[in-house]
Amino acid sequence: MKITIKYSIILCTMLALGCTEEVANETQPEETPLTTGLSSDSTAELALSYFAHMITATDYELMGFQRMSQLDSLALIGPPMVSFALTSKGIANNNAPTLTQDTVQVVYQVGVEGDTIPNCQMELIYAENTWYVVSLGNAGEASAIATARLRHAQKHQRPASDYFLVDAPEMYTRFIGYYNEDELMLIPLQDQPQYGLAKTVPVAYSNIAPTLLDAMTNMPEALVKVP
Amino acid sequence: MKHKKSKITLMLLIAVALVAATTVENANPTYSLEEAVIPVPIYGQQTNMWCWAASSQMVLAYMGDTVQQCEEANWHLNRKDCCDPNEIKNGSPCAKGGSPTFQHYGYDYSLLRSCEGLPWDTIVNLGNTNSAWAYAWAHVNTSQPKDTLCNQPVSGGHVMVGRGYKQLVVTTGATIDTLKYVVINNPMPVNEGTYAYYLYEYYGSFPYGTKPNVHAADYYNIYKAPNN
Repeated sequence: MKITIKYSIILCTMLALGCTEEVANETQPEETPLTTGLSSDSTAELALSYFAHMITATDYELMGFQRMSQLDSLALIGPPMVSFALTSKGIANNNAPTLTQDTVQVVYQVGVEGDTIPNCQMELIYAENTWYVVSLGNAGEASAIATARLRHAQKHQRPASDYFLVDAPEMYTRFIGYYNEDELMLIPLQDQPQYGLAKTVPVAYSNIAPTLLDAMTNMPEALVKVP
Repeated sequence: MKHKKSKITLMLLIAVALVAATTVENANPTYSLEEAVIPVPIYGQQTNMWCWAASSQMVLAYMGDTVQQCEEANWHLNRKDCCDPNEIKNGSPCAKGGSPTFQHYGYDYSLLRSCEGLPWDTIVNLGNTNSAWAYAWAHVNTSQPKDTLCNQPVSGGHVMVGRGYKQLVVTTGATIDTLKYVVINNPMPVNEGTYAYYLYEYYGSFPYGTKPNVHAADYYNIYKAPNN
């Protein structure tokens, strides 16, 4: 179980840190985004300069900023977090979270240079030899993730790079993950008392897995019905 | 003398060409932004199943109607107890899936079912005419290629609200990159909701986990029906 996710983390980190550049340069389509051929870090840095021109007086507060002038010193806050998926199929097969099937997702926290808590976050995926910034914003979640990671890291004297994200899409829930020696631990980002989850209180994956599997397989019905 | 003059001219030309090439290479990018952001209020969904109710609530509030998510659940589930505070929580019998409730509140709309979502020009037009819209994407129960999945049974999904667009043209020397983002209100996280830009190509099927996600539908051109 541990080998799977740790190996995945290494793979993802390699991708995130630039091992994609060689691959990306091999096949460039005629029309390419400026991010083609860049690592995820370089893409995120480039995106900062774009977003500084995209966020305006209309919505800087919705993006989590207090003043427009803060956009002059946008920076990536803390190390990026790779996102893994936790599915009912994976739990039933006794597997730890594994990489998503056809995408690699990385979340970068965005804030003002020198700050430790971000104002918002950007999410990148890797597809067709290119990193794409698929979203920017989600101020509330960015702050919740950063605060939970920072507090836990400080309390247990761990580097921020020890943490990653674990998404459980079937129950629309995102956790922060880390390893405590050999044990995969999950930090909930919201209270879900019906599953025994309390916000920011870590739980061992092995203990909560049966509950999560039950929750995922017994969702009452589809969340959305299209006429 | 003539030979020397030609040589100097040639050297000058080369120098000019080199300077020009360097200038293009190092040209500072220029940015041109086109945007429309409609003031749609953000409401977080009150249970993890009520994205459809919260998205309806946001659009209707923008249109001038106040509705409660629990009222929508009462109507949708044919119940009377969903506004009881004890029922507004995850795991309650009222916390069930649904679809936008515009018609119940006297509104009509255009519905587009598609894998791709609305054309970019339509999104630009909606933004420029101050028209909010709701859209859904769905998980599907199969591992078939995504482009064959549009009419498969839905096993889950999510509803969000479109409230505009941002189009940034970045010109760097001879290179032009056009970034198209849809501006959205997401009713998640529970009780909070959030604001974000989603890359246009992904706005309808935001990659989230291992299940295949497809765009399901857009509810747009929402308007109060004449006899309501």
